[in-house]
Amino acid sequence: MVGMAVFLGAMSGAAAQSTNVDPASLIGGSGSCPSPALVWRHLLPLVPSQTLVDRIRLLGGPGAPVQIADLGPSFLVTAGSHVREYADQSRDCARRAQFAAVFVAIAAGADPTAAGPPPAGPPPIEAVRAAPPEAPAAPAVARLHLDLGATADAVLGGAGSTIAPGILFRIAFGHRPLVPVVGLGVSGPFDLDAGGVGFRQWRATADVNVRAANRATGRTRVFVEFGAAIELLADRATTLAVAQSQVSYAVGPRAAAGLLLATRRKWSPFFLIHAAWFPDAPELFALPAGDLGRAAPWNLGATAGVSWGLL
Amino acid sequence: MEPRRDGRCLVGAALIARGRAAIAAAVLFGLLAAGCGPRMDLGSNVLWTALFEDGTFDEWTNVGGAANAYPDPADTIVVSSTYAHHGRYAAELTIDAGSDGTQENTGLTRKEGLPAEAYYSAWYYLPRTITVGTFWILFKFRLRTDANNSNTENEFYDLELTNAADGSLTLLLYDHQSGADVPLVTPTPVVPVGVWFQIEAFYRNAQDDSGRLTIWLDGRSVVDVSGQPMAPTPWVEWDVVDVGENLTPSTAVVAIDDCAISLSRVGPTGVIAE
Repeated sequence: MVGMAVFLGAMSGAAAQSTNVDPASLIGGSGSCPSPALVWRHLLPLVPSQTLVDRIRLLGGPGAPVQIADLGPSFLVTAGSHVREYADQSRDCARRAQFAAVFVAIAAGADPTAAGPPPAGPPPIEAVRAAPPEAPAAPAVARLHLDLGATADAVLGGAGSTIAPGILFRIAFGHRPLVPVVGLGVSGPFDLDAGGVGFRQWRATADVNVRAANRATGRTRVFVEFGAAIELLADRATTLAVAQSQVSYAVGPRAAAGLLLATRRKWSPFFLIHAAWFPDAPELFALPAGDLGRAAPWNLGATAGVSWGLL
Repeated sequence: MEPRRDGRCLVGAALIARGRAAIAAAVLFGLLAAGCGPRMDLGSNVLWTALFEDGTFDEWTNVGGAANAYPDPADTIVVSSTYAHHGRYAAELTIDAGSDGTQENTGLTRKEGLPAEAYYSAWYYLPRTITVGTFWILFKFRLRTDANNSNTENEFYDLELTNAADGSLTLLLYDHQSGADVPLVTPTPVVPVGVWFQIEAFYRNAQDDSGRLTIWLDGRSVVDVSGQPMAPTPWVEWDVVDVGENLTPSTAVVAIDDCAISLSRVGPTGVIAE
């Protein structure tokens, strides 16, 4: 890091080179610290302009290959498949632009040291002091998130309502604002009474959702999920002379809202509240009571757990 | 989550690219696919039933019970399709109880392995009203003073039909051990003629003060004996019968169907078989 800072200092006096390319087509981002234009200005002295344009274009992507994101106390640079987050509490935009420029140049495969003019002398001592404070770099944004949590699950309505513990396992694919999520959950036992018949119920739920996340606010990420769930119910009477285990299922829509507290480690705590509605939950029956009503159509839960970023 | 454009997603890449469509599809799927699986049959508290749908008394005789008619040849017990509460068949019990002072008997008996505490239910049909001279019994419990000695069997409670002041049929519970009628909770409940009615009893044959006998007519409590010992032993005999003496007219027909012994109350709307 210090070496990079020294190098940047050496480059600070280099004259900017002009180019006919629209920088906005190469470097994008809505943030202002650093702005894409400022990064571009710091990038020009590092790499010959045509080489720079060609290299950046090779990074690909549907929009500008380089994205700069201002995260407040840090900033994120994405250059093709290369991602780096730098901490900078002081929000020195020029310094941020320098670091972003060097990162982009390296990510693009251009050798900054090959650019002319060469460094004009020993690096100024200010450049060393200008280095961002030492901070552990954030891990690359994961393409796969495994969530595991403990759940308090409540079944409401229908033949009976109660609450029981459970576990929840979820996988989120990708890191864009909209990502698919699949989940599995098991909860129970629910001790219920319907029509005077006591029974014990276990529930296993599989769901498919789309998760929509907001922009990061500090280290907090808020997301919501919408999808569908299929629920397997296993019931066994506890107050009947002849009890038999029964399994049935129900299908219905599901929604959830969650909060992820991002850390610099691979894992982060998360909280999730979720609700599923099974309008045609299975009917319950026993002799001699007959129809006992339907199983609870509402499943509400609150989960706390850990999310691992992988890949 | 910061918006990213690096395209490094794995299997979800395609879905991500169509995020809005995926959301709509997922919600739509959830709404349209809402459905449910098969009914969950949790089990049963019904210990035994007699529906007579096989046209025999096997449901009684195969478990140590019996179907009897005596002493007059005109006393008969058959499975008939003349009357039926559910299905096609019911038991048809007929006695010829004239004024000669003879007790005429037909009945179905259960006496093997009955629990000390259970609900006993049967549906009855009376084709016509009867004037009761001496007694007319429909439902009874018997006892043993020695549970292992059949020679010690004796009468206990008889649920009888009698005539109210207006001539309609009503219930009466006779306690053979005390030699007295038991006061009813509901005075002179009317027993219908020409329609099926249910008699159900909860009998806890305890030998301490937790003993109890409660009887419902079509779901309405008519007798409640509690806080006292019942039979001297836990042994139980339950009979659904047509037993009478000095009836007018002398021929008394009773149809009986859908009998059950259950650990929970059946009630008029209960289901004893699928």
